[in-house]
Amino acid sequence: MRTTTDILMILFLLIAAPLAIAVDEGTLPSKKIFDLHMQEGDDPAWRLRAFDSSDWPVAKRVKIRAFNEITLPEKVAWLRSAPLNIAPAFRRAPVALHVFSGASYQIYWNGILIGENGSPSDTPTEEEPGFVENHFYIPSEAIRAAGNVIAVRYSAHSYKKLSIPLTVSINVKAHRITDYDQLAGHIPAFLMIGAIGAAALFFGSLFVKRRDDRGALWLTIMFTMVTLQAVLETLLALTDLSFDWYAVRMLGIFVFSYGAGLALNLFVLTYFQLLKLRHFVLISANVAALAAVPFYFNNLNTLSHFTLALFVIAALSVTSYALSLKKRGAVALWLALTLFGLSFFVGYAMFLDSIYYVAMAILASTLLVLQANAFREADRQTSEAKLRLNRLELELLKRQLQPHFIMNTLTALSEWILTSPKASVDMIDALADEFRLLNAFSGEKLVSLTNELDLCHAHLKLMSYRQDQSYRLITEIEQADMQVPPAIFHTLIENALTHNRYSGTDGTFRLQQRTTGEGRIEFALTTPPAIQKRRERTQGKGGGVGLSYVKARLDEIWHTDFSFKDGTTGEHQWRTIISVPAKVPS
Amino acid sequence: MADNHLGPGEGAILMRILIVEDETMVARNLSRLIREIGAWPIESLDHAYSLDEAEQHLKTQVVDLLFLDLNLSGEDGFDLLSGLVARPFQTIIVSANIDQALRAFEYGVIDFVAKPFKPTRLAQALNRLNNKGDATEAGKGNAKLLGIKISGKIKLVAVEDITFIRAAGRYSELVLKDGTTSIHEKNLTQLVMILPEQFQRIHKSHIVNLALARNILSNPGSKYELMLDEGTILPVGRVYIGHLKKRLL
Repeated sequence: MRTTTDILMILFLLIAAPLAIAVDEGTLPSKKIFDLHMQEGDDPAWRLRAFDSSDWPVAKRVKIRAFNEITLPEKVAWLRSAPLNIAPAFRRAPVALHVFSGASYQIYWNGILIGENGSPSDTPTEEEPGFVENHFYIPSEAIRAAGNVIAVRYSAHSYKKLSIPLTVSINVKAHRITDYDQLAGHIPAFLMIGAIGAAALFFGSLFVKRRDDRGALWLTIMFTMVTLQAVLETLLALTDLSFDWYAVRMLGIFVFSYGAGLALNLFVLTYFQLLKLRHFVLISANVAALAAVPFYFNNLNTLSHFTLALFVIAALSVTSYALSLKKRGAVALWLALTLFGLSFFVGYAMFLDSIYYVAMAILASTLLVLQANAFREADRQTSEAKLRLNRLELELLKRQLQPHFIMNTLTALSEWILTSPKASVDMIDALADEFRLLNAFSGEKLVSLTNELDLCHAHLKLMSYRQDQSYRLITEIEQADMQVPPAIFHTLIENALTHNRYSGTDGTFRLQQRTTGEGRIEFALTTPPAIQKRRERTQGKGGGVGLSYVKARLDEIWHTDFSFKDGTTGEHQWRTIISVPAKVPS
Repeated sequence: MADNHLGPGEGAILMRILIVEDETMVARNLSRLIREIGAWPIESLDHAYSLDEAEQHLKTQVVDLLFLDLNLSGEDGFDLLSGLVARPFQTIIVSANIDQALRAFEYGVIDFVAKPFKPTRLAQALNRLNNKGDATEAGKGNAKLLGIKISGKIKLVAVEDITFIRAAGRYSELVLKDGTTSIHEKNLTQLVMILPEQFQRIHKSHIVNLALARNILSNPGSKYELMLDEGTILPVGRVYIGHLKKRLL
């Protein structure tokens, strides 16, 4: 059932995303202008249709992005197109020039000024910056069937500070009043913002609820970054962008790509529990990204791509490693990341505009499914831990209520009442002390060491009366204010007394607590010498329930970060050594 | 060991008791109560802390009655019990876990006394052994299994597989449905006390499983015999015939 839902979800995203892109296809004719001639200097005659600029240098075409790279002039410069033919099909709608550039300019169609973007000037102070993207309608009477010329008088002082090559894209297109094409091109991004934004909120709220879930934190950061990145990407469609803001936008895209890549890696490392690799992975990805900066310093757009690609490669490497370890979810994530990585090459030209969103949608849905499963697993573990705790509680309670303990105590008591009323009163006191302390321990995961020792003393006193022996506990404690799981030493002592018989002359147990290096505390509990040969056998075997209680209690607090060793020592003595971190995890 | 010692129920005068109990005060309490009840004149009343100690004691001393704590040093008492009930003495269990009683009886113990001990209940248990002369009785116990020693190992035999039992010196010989025989270390008097009611003593040297008895054969001279389903004919003692007739009719 669960798998079916997962598959349906991924299929939905796979189908929905390309559909969204399909809307992008404009139905009205358009034409990109590539043959642009450039000339520095300023002459009003250069606007005219009749002027021959065929000997001017031609602008370099940036093929993959369908842009022209043009000179960043010191003063004012001009661009002129080669003569253009306008097919009758263009007449179906008003014809406009769509211009995308970082320059301030005046634009002429067959010598007629059809628009301005800011105000070009020879000096930076007099130049007025404009907007990155503009549409200029061409008066229909100015349009000829053939030999049309576009001339642009421009300057780009404001743009220089961006350190990005100056490009221009000029598009002649039949143009609707509502900019349908423009908006349609951003539909995948809009969808993305909604979906990924919702995912960010979802994981954010889960993280607020469960602070220890690092996976949710990294996904929250990653989805937030991608959402912000997508918002910046679509900003162009929603508003006219000044040059200054355009620079901020590019920087933002870089920062958010970087952040998303970083968070992706942290999530993958957390998810596969491979955090020990984090320094290696993150340092190599960052060094590689840093190494790319000199090459792409003047092109934040490419740098954003490159950085993201590096982080995806890093995440893919970690996932491949996880795959070799047969970790759960590694196959799904490996496929999603590979697809994501491939989309860098396949759709590079339009990467951040559309393919990116499809790939991101697939990756995001995979991450969603993985994290949802991780949540389920964590939930299961939580309820299991709760069950285990209940079972431990019950075990502790049962040991005190079991007939063997109570009935033997009562039998011994009835003998003491008849033979020594004073001793029987003392015995009742010890029994009451033991019950009182155990009752105080119930429901606690940790108790003070002092209380634990009081419980041991009470138990030994009671057992002394039960067996008419002299049992006692001598302690060497360094940190009495330490917290320990309830009844662990009590259980070990009880276990020793159940499975062994000790001589009447020496019934001394010893508990030593000492601080060892690396912030650890070691406890050593030594029993008195036993007088039964079979004690080793029974200690090793019969102590099962008691020992597993102690280990489960230690595990509950320190997980695997504790050690438990026991064995014979001296004259038929048994020693248990427990080492735990000095600090109790909060 | 004295040859003339007949064990409880067959004229024993002095009782030899061993308490196997790992709790000193419990053992002390039990010893005192046994002495106070005074059901038997006591020759010896000893205490062993463990089965190992008990075994040492049994190697050198004869014991008529064993008090056994089923929860010795956390070990499963039933493992030990199956070996002990094969021996030539009766066993009374003392335990805090009364839910083990039923199972203990099935193993052939003569009684089960819960801790802490009530003197009246303990007296009742001790008196169960004191039924000398009541030789007409049917089985008084609840044993479902009898432990037998075969080349040093204990094997448990289901009592319903026993056809009849005959005296074999101080011991008994069990004859099973499949025709095989096994020696059990308890004598017939001791066995009657632990076997279930379907077992009936019919002769000073025979106990029979009435579920497998067919009919009584009356011979000249007031001699009676019992014929079993599989054809075996067993002698019936004069003192037992009245009781046997009642039970078979």
